[in-house]
Amino acid sequence: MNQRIDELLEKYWEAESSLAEEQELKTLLLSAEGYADEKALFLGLSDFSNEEPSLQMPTKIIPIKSRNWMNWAASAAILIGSVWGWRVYEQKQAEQEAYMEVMQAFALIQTNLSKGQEQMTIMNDMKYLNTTNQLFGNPTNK
Amino acid sequence: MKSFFEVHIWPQRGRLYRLGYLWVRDRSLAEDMLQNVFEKSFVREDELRSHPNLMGWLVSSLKNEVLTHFRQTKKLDSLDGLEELKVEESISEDTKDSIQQVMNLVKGLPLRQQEIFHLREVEGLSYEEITEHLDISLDQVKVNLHRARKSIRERMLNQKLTK
Repeated sequence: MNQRIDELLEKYWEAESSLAEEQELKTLLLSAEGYADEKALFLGLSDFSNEEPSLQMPTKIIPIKSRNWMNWAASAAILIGSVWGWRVYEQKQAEQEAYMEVMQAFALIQTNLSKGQEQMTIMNDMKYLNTTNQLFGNPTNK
Repeated sequence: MKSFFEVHIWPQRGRLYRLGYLWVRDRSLAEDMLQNVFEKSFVREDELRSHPNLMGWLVSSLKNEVLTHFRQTKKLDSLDGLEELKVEESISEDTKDSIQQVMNLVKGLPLRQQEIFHLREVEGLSYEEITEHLDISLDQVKVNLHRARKSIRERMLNQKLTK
């Protein structure tokens, strides 16, 4: 058996052995005496082949695709909204101004009406005078 | 229905991890690098579906991660002489003794020799499979494996003499 191991080892070190021969060599070494270094090497290689990563399978993160049309749509919506808002504001302002003008006109009428009423007070007093003499005096009384 | 990643990429995680572990000699770092490779594979999934050599792409992508790490840690200034780069990372303490012995034996070997030796000895790949993994010729595989084994044999003999 040792002769076969030596033969296989020689081929192994010269990199002339096949995978099957390398497997045979490892199997023979398991039951052979000696060859401590070779056994240690193959044991280390075997242990290494059992190393596994402690990773969880990652889940695919779907990249957000570029959606330029959405940006454009959002911009247009903001623009339209702004224009509409501005128009409503202007309309309200115009209404407010018209209301103020009407109120001012009413105030002017009211003022003038009050003045007229004051003027009419004198006329009102005249109703208490019953005769022409009371109005203009009697020249004979002089 | 299983995804492309689940069927074609995820099953390669062990092999990729061990290769990364061999280069950087640190479990956590190797896992981080593998995660980065997986993220890249998600981004380029459409391209990878029709890739003629998916495993080659994965190994190459992992190697780029390792080289970026080496550049960041000032162990590599440029990509020149990449395959002749001698990887001499210190081995993390949580590594098994038997694996440490293997890592010590391959320590200082050029990167190309290390990866070929690893793929043959640890992953049990044929020469043809190694050529596919590393996208190199059959002759390069044979020559580098021969050199790697020769160096390792010499180191083992020297160790025996010094004991």
